[in-house]
Amino acid sequence: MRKPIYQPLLIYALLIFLALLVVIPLAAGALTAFKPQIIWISSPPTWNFVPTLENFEFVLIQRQNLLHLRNSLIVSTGSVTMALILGIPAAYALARFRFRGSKGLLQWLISLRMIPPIVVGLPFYVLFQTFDLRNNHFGLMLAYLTFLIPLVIWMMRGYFVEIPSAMEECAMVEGYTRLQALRKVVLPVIAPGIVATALLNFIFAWNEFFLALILGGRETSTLPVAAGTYVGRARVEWGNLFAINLIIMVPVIILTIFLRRQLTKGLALGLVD
Amino acid sequence: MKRNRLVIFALLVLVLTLGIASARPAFAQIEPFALTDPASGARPFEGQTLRIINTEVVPILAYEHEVLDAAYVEASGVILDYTNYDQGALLPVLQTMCAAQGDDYDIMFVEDGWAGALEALDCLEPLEPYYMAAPGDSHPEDYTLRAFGTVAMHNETWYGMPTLVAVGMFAYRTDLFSDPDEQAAFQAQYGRELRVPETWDELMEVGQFFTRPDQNLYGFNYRYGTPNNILFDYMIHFGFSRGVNFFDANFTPLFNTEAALDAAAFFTGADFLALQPPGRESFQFGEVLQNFTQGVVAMYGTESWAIPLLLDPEASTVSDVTGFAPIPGWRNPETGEVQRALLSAGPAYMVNRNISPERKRLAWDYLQLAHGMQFARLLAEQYGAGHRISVLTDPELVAQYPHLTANYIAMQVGIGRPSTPWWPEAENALGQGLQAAVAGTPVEEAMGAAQAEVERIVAENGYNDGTFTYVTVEQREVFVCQLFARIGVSSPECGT
Amino acid sequence: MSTFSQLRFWFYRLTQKYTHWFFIAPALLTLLLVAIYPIVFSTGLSFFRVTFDSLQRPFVGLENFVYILTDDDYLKVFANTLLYVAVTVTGSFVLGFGVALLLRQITLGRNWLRVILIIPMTMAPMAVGLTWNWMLDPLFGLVNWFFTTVGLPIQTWLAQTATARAVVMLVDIWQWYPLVLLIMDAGLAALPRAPYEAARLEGASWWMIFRRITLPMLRPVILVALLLRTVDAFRTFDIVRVMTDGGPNLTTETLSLFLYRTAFNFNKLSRAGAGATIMLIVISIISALMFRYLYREVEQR
Repeated sequence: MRKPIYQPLLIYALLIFLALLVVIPLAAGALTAFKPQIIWISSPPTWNFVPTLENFEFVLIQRQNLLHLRNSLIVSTGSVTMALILGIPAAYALARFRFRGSKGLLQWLISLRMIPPIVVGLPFYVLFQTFDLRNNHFGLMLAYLTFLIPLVIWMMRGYFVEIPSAMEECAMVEGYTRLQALRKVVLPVIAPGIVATALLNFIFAWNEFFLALILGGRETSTLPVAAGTYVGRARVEWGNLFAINLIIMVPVIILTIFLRRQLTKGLALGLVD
Repeated sequence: MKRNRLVIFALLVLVLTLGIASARPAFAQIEPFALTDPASGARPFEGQTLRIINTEVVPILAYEHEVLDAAYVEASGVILDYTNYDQGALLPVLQTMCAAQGDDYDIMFVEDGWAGALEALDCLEPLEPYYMAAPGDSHPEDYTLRAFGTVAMHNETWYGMPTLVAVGMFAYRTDLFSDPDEQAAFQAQYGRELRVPETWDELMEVGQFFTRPDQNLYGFNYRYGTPNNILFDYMIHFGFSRGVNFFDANFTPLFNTEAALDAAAFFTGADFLALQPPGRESFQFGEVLQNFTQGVVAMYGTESWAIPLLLDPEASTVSDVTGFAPIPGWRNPETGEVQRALLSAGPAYMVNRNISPERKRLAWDYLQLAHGMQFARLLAEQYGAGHRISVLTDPELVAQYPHLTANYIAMQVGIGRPSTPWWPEAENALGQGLQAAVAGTPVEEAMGAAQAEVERIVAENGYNDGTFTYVTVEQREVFVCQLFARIGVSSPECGT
Repeated sequence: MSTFSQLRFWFYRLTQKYTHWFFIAPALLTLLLVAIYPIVFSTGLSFFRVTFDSLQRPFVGLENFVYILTDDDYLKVFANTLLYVAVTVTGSFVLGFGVALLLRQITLGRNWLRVILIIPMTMAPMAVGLTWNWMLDPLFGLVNWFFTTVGLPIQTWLAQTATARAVVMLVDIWQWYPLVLLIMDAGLAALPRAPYEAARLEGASWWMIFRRITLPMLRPVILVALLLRTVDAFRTFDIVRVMTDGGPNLTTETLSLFLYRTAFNFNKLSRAGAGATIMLIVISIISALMFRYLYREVEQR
């Protein structure tokens, strides 16, 4: 089992190369967000410049994308919370009970995630128009559930399978109802799993574009839709675009760094059933 | 019981009269109403909010909003609430809103090619009655017939105030063309004087001369990127001047005629592509604009809306050495004349039919003033951009911005694109044909396939059986003159 | 009172017997509304001739299906999409799994490398596409700046029919291999140590250990990763829309984009509905096959 001396070096070289593939585009893009319009692009690229906040000012104040930031926060947290509340009990049942069709149901649930957004866009529009849910935060959250619930059920089921059922059976002998046992005994144990599930779903909801475009409106458009307005028929406003991209990315990256342990632990717990 | 019957009867009569009254082109009359007027200080709509669905990335619009909206807000006390979408997404959003009779927005940004589709959804409010009730500063006769007929009207009905009128323009680098060394080198190489090209042949020659990849300089660039883009540049810069049109009177597409193939072969030919910067096959608006503002190309076949941006030192590194000319045309071998005809197109702000009458009056107030005649001058003074005759022919402004004259010429000869409800699909098919030619398919084959596809689309929509006739640009002019006669304004172009 | 307690008892029995349904019902009912209704709606549309100006046009039977199945563009785009899914799923899986294995081999800076590597996955797909468009711009992009600096010719990959597809797929892989990495890394972390120690004592090679121990034990996780990626790859829309908009010459068009154009730009709602229905059928078959395989493996264990 002797390892050749160059092997770790090779591994590091490869990993650092992949990391550079991430860091370089993002860093260069982030720099552009601080460049004045005249050097948003140039050949060769300009590295010497006086950083300016005018792109951020334009995006946040002039185009009022602060409002979109608020909308994104409301819609993403709301839809993820709803998906967790609805999905966790279902995942629990699918993990604990073997009943006729449980396998098929599980399969069917995850394949719902495959529905292309175009299929749901128009029906939702018609439905939401009727019930006055268009341009409405709740409506958007509801629409996001299409692709969030399947993922929540899928991931959470793994965690429940992992936990011995003796745990809540004991609790039930002690006099808890099943729901109480679930809430007070099982959920705390799989908390990292819930965090991991929530984070992954949050990322998907936060970055969603198509449904927000079709179903959102003046008061509810999210950040990705706002970012789209800087990509015009006439030109891409690179500086403004990278500014809003930073605003979209930074919260998620911070969350990911902050929760990375729970994420790894949670995924490890859930997926190895 | 009796009273109920009476009410029903009255309602029936009301509905019938309304139905008859709303049949076009006789519109329901609107009582005269007060408008914002900076001269008298009248502010009848003060404090209200006007909701506009918009796209802002066509550069001139940003400049317009900066100048016109500020002036309007100051004069009227109205609050302007913009919702911006990227242009690719705007039509879907408008269509879905209109199909559901939504009243989310008062004013909509409508491209000329979309008017037919939105009219079919009964979503556009005719403006004629508003003009009759309160003309304000709108002055429709201040536009060329071609521009107004294409941008503001759909067939016989007036729906919008032009936000901008896009016509083909030719931008070039004055520093390169006036450099004595370049002139001498060109003279030595081609045996004639170096000047801004006026014909296709000259364009090719001058392009060759300036194409120097080692200096990161290329002749010119056009858009080949998306079906929509490639079709536009083909028609604006080559097709129309060669005598190509979209359809004949019976909606037979005209894309495999000798002229159309000729223009396509020139535009998609390898020799012509070679004079453009690398990546040209995917260039869209953004790339061709970037290339010019970064000094990578000597010439740039552009559209009039780009002018303020090209002259803006904050946006272009060559703003102080940018000149404008009419686009190069096709020299007719029989007459020896240079033929030029180019697309005139553009969006207008149109009023949503599904909003309340009060809101419609507010919308009209904005249109007549913010996009009216006196404010147009403000924009021209500041940014050298204009769409109205009064601006384009103003001696003082022309002295300051010589390109306005070229712009005016272009606006008189511009041909609009069709705006039938199925046009977006046909546009896509034609653009794909041209793209196939760029990718190497022989031109006859590529354009033949596009022709067949458009024929199929026309037939599928029932436009080939004689019930519909293609509205030519000349007919559009007649419609405009008829409108002007109805509303009692005179225009020299109509002979009144 | 006794009827009430009887009722309560009956209800108790009911909850005992069908507990699982009480847990599942809320999610199921919601999905019925947000997923099944749209599917039924768009499948229904495809039997009519519907446009935006009228949502109740005549019944036309299978006309739309016949049209779309004989439309060269649709078939071409369908083939494109299948290829796109196959390549991006395989690519992101191989790379993600590989990097997860490599990360196990190192200790110094492992956590930071992992965090950096998973960043692309947290980005909006549209932002990913635009960032790479900007990087790959022939004249102003960093990639070509680097190329010209080291004396290589300018590359115009996104503009060429031969290369555009590969570039878009690579960008998709760049964005999504981190998801596989995350899942596989978690799977590797959870593996028991005993079998490895035993194998090492017997002097098994790295490859033997990988083939005989790691792979079999990870199989369920692998399938989860593959399934998730496949499901998402079929929905690809944003990246392609901003990078090439389907061009050049339709080579990069995906089904989502094609159907979007058909419905929202060309106003052919029913035709798009028919196209979407066929697409749904095909992907259900694919997912069912994957599932069957997944369950067989799990049960074997």
